[in-house]
Amino acid sequence: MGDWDRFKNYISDYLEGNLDNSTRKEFELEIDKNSNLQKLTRGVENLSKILGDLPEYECSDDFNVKLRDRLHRESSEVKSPVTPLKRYSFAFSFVILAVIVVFTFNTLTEQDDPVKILPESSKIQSVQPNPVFQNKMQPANQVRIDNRQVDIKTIDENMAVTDSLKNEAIKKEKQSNIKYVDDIKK
Amino acid sequence: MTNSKDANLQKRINTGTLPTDEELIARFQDGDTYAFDQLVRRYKDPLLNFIFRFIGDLNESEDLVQDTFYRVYKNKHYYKEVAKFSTWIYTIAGNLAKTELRKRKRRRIFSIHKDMPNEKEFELPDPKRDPEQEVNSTITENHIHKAIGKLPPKFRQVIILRDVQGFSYEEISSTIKVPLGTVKSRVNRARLRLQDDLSFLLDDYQNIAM
Repeated sequence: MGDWDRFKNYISDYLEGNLDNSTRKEFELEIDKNSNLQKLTRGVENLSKILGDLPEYECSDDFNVKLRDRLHRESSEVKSPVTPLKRYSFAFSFVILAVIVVFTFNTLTEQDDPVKILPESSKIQSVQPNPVFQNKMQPANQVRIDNRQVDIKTIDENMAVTDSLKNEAIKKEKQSNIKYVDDIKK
Repeated sequence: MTNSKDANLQKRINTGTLPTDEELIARFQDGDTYAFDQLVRRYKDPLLNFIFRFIGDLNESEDLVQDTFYRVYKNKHYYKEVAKFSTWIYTIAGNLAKTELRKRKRRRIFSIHKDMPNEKEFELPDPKRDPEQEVNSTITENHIHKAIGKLPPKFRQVIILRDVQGFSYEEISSTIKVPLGTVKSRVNRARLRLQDDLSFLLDDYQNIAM
């Protein structure tokens, strides 16, 4: 910081008598030889006087009345507070909506599940898929039955179907074995 | 219009017969609304001048003074006697004025018309004063007002509190929550800037004074 800046920083303290003795003397010596610093110091001194003499304005005549009205208005609003229902109506309706959505979703999910819609008095205990014909001798050109559809039958019916299919498979095997033997004999 | 820093200071100095600001606020905290009315009477004009010099609009300044007293009314129990009441109320007023300036900056509203302080409708001219002198002082005041308006808010606030309102450096320091040394430095720099802007006026003032 140069001397000029240093002495500029001292101006207010000098005018207000806040400089210590040695700094004040140094400043006064500088003012005597530096006309710019002198002019600046006088300017700041005059400025402070002008600012202190600025006219003062007064509030309007109805200032107190307006203030009183405002305070009265604000305090009467506080006395009738907002009811909890009004305040939390948005949250409340959101909760109701959420409950409705969850209920609807659950209802739709139950409709997709056939087991649950059947009456409990039904004798059905299990669900058996259609038996896939697993005979290894099955000709390749015959289309494999890939039955993903579930047939709902009683247990007895299921067992009866299984037995009859087994018997049929055994019969066919026997027939094919007999034919094989006949071919060899020939 | 009243017109001197001494008269302003006198308003702020409490005589032995009148209750102090701290006594009034204590009474108000206990429920005495008449004490609040007395505080309003004491501070409404000084606050108006402080805010007006800060933001430059007289009507808006009066609204902000209303806001200041409203906050004092609602938050009376937040005042503790560790600080002076004047520090507290000027802090509230200063914050409201700064908020208003920030809002204006965002809106970018410039109103040269409103910068003219003498457009207040209910102001009556003093018949004793010389019209020519009246015009000169009005022009001078407008120049000063505009020059203050050009200062950055942190310089503007301290120069108004120090040179216009007559606060001590310690009071300014506790009002704006800034160290004493910083306050002195800002006051000095604000004065130097204003002196630079108003040198033509100050030279004339010097000549008249001499």
